[in-house]
Amino acid sequence: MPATDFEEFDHTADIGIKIYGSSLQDLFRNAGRGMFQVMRSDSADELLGTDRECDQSMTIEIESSDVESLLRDWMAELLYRHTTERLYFTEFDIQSVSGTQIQANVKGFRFTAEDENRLMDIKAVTYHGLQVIENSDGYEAQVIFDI
Amino acid sequence: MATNIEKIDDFTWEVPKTGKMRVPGRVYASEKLMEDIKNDQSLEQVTNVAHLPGMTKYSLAMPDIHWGYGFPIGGVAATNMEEGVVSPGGVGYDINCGVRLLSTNLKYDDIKGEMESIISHLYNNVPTGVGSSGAIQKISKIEMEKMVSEGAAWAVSQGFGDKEDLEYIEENGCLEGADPGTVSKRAYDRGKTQIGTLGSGNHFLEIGRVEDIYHDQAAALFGLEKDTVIVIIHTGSRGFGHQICDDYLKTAQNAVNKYNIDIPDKQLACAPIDSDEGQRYLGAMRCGANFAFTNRQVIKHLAEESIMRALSISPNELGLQLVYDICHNVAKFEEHKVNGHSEKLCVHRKGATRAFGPHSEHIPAKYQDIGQPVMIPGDMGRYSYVAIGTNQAMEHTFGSSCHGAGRQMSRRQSKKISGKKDIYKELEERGVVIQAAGNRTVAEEMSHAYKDVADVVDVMHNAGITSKVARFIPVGVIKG
Repeated sequence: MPATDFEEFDHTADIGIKIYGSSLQDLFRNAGRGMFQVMRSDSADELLGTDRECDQSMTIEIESSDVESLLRDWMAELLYRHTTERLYFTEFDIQSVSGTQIQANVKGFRFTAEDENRLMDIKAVTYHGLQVIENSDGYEAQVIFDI
Repeated sequence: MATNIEKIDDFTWEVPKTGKMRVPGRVYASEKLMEDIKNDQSLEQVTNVAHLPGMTKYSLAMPDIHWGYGFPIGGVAATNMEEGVVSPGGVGYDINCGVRLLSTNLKYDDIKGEMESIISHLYNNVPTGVGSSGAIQKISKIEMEKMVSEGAAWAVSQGFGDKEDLEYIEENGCLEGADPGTVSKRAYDRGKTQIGTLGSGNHFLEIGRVEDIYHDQAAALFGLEKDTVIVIIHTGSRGFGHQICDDYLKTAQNAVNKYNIDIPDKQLACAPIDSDEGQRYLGAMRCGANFAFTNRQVIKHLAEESIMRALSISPNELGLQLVYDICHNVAKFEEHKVNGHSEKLCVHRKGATRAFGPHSEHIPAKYQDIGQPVMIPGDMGRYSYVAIGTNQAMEHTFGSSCHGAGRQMSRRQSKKISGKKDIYKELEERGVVIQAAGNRTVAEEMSHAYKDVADVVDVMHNAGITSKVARFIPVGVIKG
């Protein structure tokens, strides 16, 4: 079992994360957590999320052609909601996920104008180096964000 | 497998045309920069781009090249109208990320005691980071469609800047042929609160001073003297443009199958220019470009207000003047000489800048004798340059030049090195007052993360592609 749920890896201009999960559910949950961790302008800013009431929730349902596209589309949807509705998500309850569809309940809080400076702008979840591999520990994925 | 590359002269290298390449690759670099370039997949990507249908003359790479998504950053690819393709990856996610240079009436000695105040005013007035609190908070869809059709002219009509600014923006601040109907609701949603925001990553607003002048005539026309205070704004089309790229990458992936386009890397997804998909992407991309022109025009106004308030001076005393505004992520239809005759081409510049030479009808009347200004920002600790385009550029690079320093290490590596030193003290010792959204961006954007832009600019200068005009030293910066 990998010791970690997600970790950054080297890319010249942008930020890549490797994501691990014992199941596809776990992988997709950790993908959400990983992306919102990357967003913290100050990675030591642990307070962001723990000092807020996570009173915003919604259901997200997506279909894609394959599991890599699904992972990317899932993260792109979270990013879209984040920037357009000013939401910082902290909980990702994956209700069902297969190779081509996902249904999840996500929870978080609406961030304020003051918070904005604590959040780095992710331009996009790219297809660059996009990978989902099944192995003996479960799943391992790689995603690169355009920063 | 290492790419076969041959030295042509001290600053020019060629990847010979082999296999299914339609053109050779051509890379501008010194020996020193080429050693770095060989360390990532840039040359492989230059080679891959050469396979695209309609590629003309060369798959070009500038000395600040590094690897990207399919297309390298620092690449120029021109495709013809008949069989050529257009590719969202050849423009990038940040459509019309670009740079604006402004001069002032101020000398650095006039303001150095006030830098903290100036930077503080700028930081409070120009949203950074995720930046969802733009200067224009409520805008209807119809008005947004007007904005992305008209570009910077729309911003002027709303009271941001003057109509005299428009001539000093590439394409007069508006790409013709923008089609708001080809842009998704998602893109409008993402962009509507971000007008007049900087973003994060390598975007910045910098105050600098002129340290060196290399071309007296051009410097005089740009309003630059030693110690003149200048302002550089680096940002793009924000979530609006990013979403357009995202949407059309999917369209392009489907188009590759539909039109049986043979590409060596699926990240080079593209569509024939002369196809519904290609035309829709171009229509949308132009909207993205116009959003960015508007964005930089609004930020100019916010910067002007901030500096005036900090120094308690009038607009005339400040004298903020637009020297020029250029794109470095865009695809445009331009006429260029190919085999002795003029041909209309779709020129993709991704991390590359237009650098038109003297007497081009596309540059301001005031600059006809000298050529188009080319801004080349370096990292926030060292220096930046302004140069001018040349006839050599027109002949050899589709009138294109480099765009900046180019990164030489990952954000993670940069943070590790930053972690071992006091980065704020380092900037302070260099005389740079900084205010940033978080430690992370500063750690990732320190000088050690970037190539030395002087090396990059020298290659372009020595190859005759651009001529150096002036060098600026940063004295204050805000970052997201």
